[in-house]
Amino acid sequence: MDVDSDVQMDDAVDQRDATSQAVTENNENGMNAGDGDAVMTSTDSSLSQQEDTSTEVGKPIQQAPISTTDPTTKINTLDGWIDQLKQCKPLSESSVKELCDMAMEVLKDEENVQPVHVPVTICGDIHGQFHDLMELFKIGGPCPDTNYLFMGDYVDRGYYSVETVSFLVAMKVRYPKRITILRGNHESRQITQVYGFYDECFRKYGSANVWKMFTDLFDYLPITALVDNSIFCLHGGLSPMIETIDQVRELNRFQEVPHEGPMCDLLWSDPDDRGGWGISPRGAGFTFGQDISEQFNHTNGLSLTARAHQLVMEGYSWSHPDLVVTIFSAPNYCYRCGNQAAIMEVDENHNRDFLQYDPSIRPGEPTVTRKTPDYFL
Amino acid sequence: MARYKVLLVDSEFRQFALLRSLRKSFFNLISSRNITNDTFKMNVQSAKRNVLKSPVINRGTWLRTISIDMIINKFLQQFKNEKVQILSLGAGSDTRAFRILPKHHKNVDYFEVDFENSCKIKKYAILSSEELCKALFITKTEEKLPTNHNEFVTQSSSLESDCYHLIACDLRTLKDRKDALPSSFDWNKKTLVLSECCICYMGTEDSNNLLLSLKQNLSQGIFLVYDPMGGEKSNESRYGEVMVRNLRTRGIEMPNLMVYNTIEKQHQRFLQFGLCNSNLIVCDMRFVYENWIPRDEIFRVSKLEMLDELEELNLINSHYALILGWWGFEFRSNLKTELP
Repeated sequence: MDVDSDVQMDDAVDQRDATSQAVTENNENGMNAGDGDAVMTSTDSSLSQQEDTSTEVGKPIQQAPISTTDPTTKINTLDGWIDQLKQCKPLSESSVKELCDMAMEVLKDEENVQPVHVPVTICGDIHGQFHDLMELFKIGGPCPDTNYLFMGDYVDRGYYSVETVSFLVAMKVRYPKRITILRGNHESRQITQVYGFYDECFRKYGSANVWKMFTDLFDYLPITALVDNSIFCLHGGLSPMIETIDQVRELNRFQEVPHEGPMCDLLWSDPDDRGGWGISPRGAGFTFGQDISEQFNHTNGLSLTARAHQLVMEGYSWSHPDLVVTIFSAPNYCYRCGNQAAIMEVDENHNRDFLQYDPSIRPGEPTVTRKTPDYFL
Repeated sequence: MARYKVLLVDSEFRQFALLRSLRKSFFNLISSRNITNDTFKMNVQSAKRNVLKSPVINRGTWLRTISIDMIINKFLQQFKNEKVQILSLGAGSDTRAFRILPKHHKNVDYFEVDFENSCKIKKYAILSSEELCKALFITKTEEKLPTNHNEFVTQSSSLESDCYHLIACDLRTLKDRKDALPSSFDWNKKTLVLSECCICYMGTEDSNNLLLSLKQNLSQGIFLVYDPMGGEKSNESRYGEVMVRNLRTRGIEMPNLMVYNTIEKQHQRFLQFGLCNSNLIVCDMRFVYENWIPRDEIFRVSKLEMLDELEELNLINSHYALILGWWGFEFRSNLKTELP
């Protein structure tokens, strides 16, 4: 592999020789020194994990006993996991397995166009920014008191993808009617190998097993939601192959996100100032103009299409001019962008309100131990 | 409907890692592997090897490299019948000379300036590689590579060939000491002064004094500066603030980040050195990406590595300035400028 020699004053990743032992169980410390940009800058193909000397390796986690049969025990187990995850401590590998099995049972019966009712709070990309997700629940109100709809991209980029996706999936299993989690383009085997979730799983669990469990689960996530037949919610945008919402219902969503076709477009497309369909500069999906949004909303009797997928500096942004809204819920995205985040509350009367927020302040967190994001230096 | 194959996870990742080793195809480097490996053999920080860069960083580095290459090539092309000079500031870990000199050694004198230790590391990296010596036309030297720290400290840092000159110099002192540059440096030849993320590390006054003295002492010159900018601070954008904080955790200070934080301020700065407005091109890198780079080249690179972080790339690119300012001759760039 070539060395990045053109980058002057390159980033200061202290890349240890990849010879460290794989950790069979997870480690407890979620805020260790290596829990940083190493997500994006994995080791070479030898695949050994980076070991962080600061990590308490192999320290077992206290966890509620395992049971899925008895409902009370199941709830207790889930509550135990949720409490643990709230402290940003990842579950053990066996618990993740159990959690994913439970989640598959719940998600397999959800629809491609999952019906959701008001009141609901609609959220965009999280990208492993676990502490900001906790901030989101503070701003929007705790779940299950508040209903939530997340439009995908829970993993990759941030330092805590494992904790973030574990938490949201646990909440989904615990309160299936109160929280809806859609699939984003990052909930995919391919993308997570480039953008960090794979590496993070490997680093935190010592193998790719947990990555495999979650990415298998991602195939079950619904791809769109419809809020009271009025607001169409999805991660990316429209597809030239989809004219009606019924056509979304006919798709077979239980698969890896394809490179092209309607399912790909729904997770990858972006609204654009130019009319009609355009080639997406991302290399997947399309851009769609106001005329397309008008036609789609009209055909399907919609008041609004809500989507995520794009960084917008104020956390939300209107397009076409008010037919499409972009919601982005990762403040200071990638610990570098300096943007605000937002969520959209829709009340019983379909009134909409945007709540903006900044990155959570984490007192006592030793920032110097975190790997800082890269720049072109 | 497309199908996916579930490969063995490990092999799948290996394949990805290999696919992402794209620098050669990005930059059309022929022997980059040898050059980089050798360069880093001597580098005490060679532990940095094998780090995968995120696609946004790859794309930005690629953009910086080809846009600077493009300008240097235009400069060399315009004056291909005379001897010109390139003065690269803070070039300790730069590899551009290895690519330029094999092609252009007949009409370019390449001067690289950096702190003494950076120069030494570079010098030994070059001397330990036959290929690098060849690229810079360095003939056999009797000099032995240092075998211990003491030898490293005491040996000379200078390295010269007919077309290449590695010069140890604290740039803060260059304004008072024209003699810090070797006698082979000709203050009357057309000189391209390259600062690729260099002056941003210097204090505001030091960097301006340096540029001003170069402007005054060179009768014909062209500045080519690539500099990060903090951007306009607002409620919804704290990019610069975050950057200052992030860099500080790495022990990096960039004193000008919030001083020359916009292209307008950079433009004003270069006007103050006595450059005329018509001889100045100031753009941010987003503008460069969208206006200078041929569509098919962007398309080619997009196919090499998919980039999901488009908004982020645009955001980061809009916080880097590319500045071109010339005097004493007419530079025919035909490049679009962002500021009128």
